[in-house]
Amino acid sequence: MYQAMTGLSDKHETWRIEAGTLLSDEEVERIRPSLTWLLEQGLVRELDTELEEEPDGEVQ
Amino acid sequence: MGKYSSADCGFLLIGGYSILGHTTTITENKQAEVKDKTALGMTWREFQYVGLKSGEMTQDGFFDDDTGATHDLFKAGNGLSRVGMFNLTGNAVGEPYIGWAGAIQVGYERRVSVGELHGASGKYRVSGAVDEGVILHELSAETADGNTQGADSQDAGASSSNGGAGIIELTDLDLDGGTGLQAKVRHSADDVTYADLLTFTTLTDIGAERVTVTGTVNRHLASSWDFTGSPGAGATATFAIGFARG
Repeated sequence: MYQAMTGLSDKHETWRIEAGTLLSDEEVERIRPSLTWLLEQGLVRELDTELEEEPDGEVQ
Repeated sequence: MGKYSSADCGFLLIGGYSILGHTTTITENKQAEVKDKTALGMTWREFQYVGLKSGEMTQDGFFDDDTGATHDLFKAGNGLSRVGMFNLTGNAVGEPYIGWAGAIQVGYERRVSVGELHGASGKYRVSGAVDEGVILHELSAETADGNTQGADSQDAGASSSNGGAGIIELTDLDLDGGTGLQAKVRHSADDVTYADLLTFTTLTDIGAERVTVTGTVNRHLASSWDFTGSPGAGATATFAIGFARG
């Protein structure tokens, strides 16, 4: 899952993504050609979606 | 690139006032501060740069008491610090500009002579940086949301890493029911996807602002503007935007 850290658009502004938006699959595809530099510069960040496993049978 | 004349001057903007049309002479300079380090026994004076720079600007022209003209700008301006922007080579996207982070008015002079038009001049000391940037939106009117991405974007050939400063000068605004004008400087590494680089304060009246950023500035630069709220068909804004890489 990706999050836009700033406002994004294509150069013709046929689409816009506001800062803070969690990107849908369609939006990820829109920025796919530019994803490498957007990630490198922190303009888009990849969220850690792995769930932490709870220890079996332990009760506090 | 080459030589230019008075006809090429694109604009002189100070705090949202456009005074090129009242101006006959502009004198602008940047200085580096040096100290004399000549010692006994030396035969030639020697100087050392102490790492400080500064700027000054003097404008000379006509006294005019119309709204938005020289007297309106200068009459209560002594001591005020305003953002300024000045172009020598033509009012067009991609042309260079000189920007002043804080042009403090230190003098207002009125001159009257028999048989002459009344004269007025303002003198400024620049507090902070003097920018050398590129125009991302020429001084002109817009009546709808827009941007300069794509065909009018400015390609520096490479990114830079020392941040920079953007300036907006808004000289005329009719919101026609809208709530403001929000302008941005945007950048792109590939001229495909653009990201916000900086956002100016939403303006509701004439004025100017300089915003600085740190870090990477990508090779393509552009400006964008939106009329916020629900503006009518009569909405119009006249402004210039530029950016200087650090």
